[in-house]
Amino acid sequence: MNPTLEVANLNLASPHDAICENLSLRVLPGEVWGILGPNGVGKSTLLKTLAGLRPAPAMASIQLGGQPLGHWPRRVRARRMAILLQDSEPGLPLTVFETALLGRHPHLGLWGRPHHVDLRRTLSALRIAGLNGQRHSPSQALSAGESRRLSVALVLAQDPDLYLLDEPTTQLDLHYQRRLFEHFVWLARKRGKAVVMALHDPTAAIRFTTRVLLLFGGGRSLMGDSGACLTPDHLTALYGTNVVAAQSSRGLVFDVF
Amino acid sequence: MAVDTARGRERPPLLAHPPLSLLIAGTLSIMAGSCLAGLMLGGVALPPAGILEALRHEGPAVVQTIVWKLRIPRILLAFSVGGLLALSGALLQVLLRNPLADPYVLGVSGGAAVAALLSFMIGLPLYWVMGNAFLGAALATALLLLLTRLTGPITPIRLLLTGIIMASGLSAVVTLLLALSPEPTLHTLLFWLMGSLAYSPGTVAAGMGLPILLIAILALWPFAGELNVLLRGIETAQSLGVHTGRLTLGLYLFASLCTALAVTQAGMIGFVGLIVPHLVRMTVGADHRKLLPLAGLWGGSLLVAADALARSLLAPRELPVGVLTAFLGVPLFLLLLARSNRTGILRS
Repeated sequence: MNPTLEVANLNLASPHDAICENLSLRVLPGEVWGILGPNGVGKSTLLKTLAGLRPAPAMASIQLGGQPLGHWPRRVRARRMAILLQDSEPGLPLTVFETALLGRHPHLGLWGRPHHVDLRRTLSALRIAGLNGQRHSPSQALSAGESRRLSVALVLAQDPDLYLLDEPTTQLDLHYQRRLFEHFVWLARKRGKAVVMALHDPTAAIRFTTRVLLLFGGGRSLMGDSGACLTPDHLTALYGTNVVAAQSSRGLVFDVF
Repeated sequence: MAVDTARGRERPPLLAHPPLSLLIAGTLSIMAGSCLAGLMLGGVALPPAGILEALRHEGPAVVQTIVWKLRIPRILLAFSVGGLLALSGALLQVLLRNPLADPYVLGVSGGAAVAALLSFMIGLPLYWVMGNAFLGAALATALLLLLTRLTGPITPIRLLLTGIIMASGLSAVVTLLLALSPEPTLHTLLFWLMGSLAYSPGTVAAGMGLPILLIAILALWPFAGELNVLLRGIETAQSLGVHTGRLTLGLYLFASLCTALAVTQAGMIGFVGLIVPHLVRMTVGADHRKLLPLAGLWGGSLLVAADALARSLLAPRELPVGVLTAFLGVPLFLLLLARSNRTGILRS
């Protein structure tokens, strides 16, 4: 199977620390990746680099669908890859529906007129994000959690092959956390999409991801199958605090001892 | 937690999904109403019947002259100036992602004013003054971009700050030039600076203004979708396939061009560029496919109406139209600010 995203020799550093050294990874269709690490370790920087929003070092190779990132025309690339950023500007008042419709922008023709399929996909994205009832409200009228769901709806409407998600469930209530995680897992399994998300919750990671990349800081990283990598020992090293695991009826639950 | 406490009281735009026919009909009647006011009001009030006669080249010669030689050119001029200001205000508010941005904030008009004053003082003919004012505005824009770039990356907030500093520097130069200028020209210069449609060379510029406005609206229309995307910020826009660098640079230049054209024709007319885009947003929302053409056409209508009032309130004396727009603009803006608590339009 051809990888959706293939990274080789990626060295990244923040102003004060190395984020990753010689990182190489292959994200296949159907895989859900979790990137875990302590605050400030560079998860967002890594995701933005993968999305082409930040320049990658010259010696690194980042390939999307078998082609170097820079070779894709920007609009075409936006049909293949979407990124959910941690914060988006609230902007001036578009309605909820108009905002989600922005996700269709790379799919629209020259005159930017949305077709039936664009409207349908936008509506279904809003339904998944639970915002269908508020689609005519100004987007500023939403609560913090609802705004976050709107950003997710925008990315869902974009309908790419690869989803890069920076902490997709921050500020969401338990119901929507589960619902959106399950939707992304469904997209990967049934629709052959690839998902790479930065996460803070190892319990969610072990339940919803197939593969993980742990960033320890100082450029050290570890990757592999979620079940193998997400152990109390690794997580203790990752967060610098004693992490324990307990078995629940739905799988492992991690907590700080 | 301002978001939470304000919830439930939010109001959508008055016409979030207006039928296209209603928008067109509404805009046409606003335009017709303001033009009718522009034809009727002034030093001599004309009845509609007399205007209709004069438009058919019938009736008294004086009325025909007033209508054809004075009022129609002036309406055309006011319409194009108001439209260009509103259009550039709408653009700058997205580009700087700041609801308070307007064409005068960035010092573009200051550049025009300095160049025009200098040309006046060395006694150049009027069309040279206009040409130089335009050049001054263009230079001010180039200087703004250059200074912002030299001191760091071009970001909305840095551009805004650099623009504000440049604008105040240039206004000091304007004051200096006024202090140095001889008595007879001072009056003309002051009126031009206050914003007036009376000292324009009239028909030539007026005839060109309207096509320029319409071309500007049509030229911007294809970018409406990308402007909508830009509302979510630069990075989101990039991830949605927009070439943000190219787009924003082009639009800054375009907005400056619109401002320069307006300033050279009518001096410093404030508030149109600030108020009109917000009025449109409150009525039909922020979708630029509707916002851009409506801002252009409503801005034009507003200035035509304001100019009609400026000519007639203290007739035969004529008020600078900039004073009128400020009188209308200040309460309107305060109202907007009060409403914004509920609509979130001005919430940062």
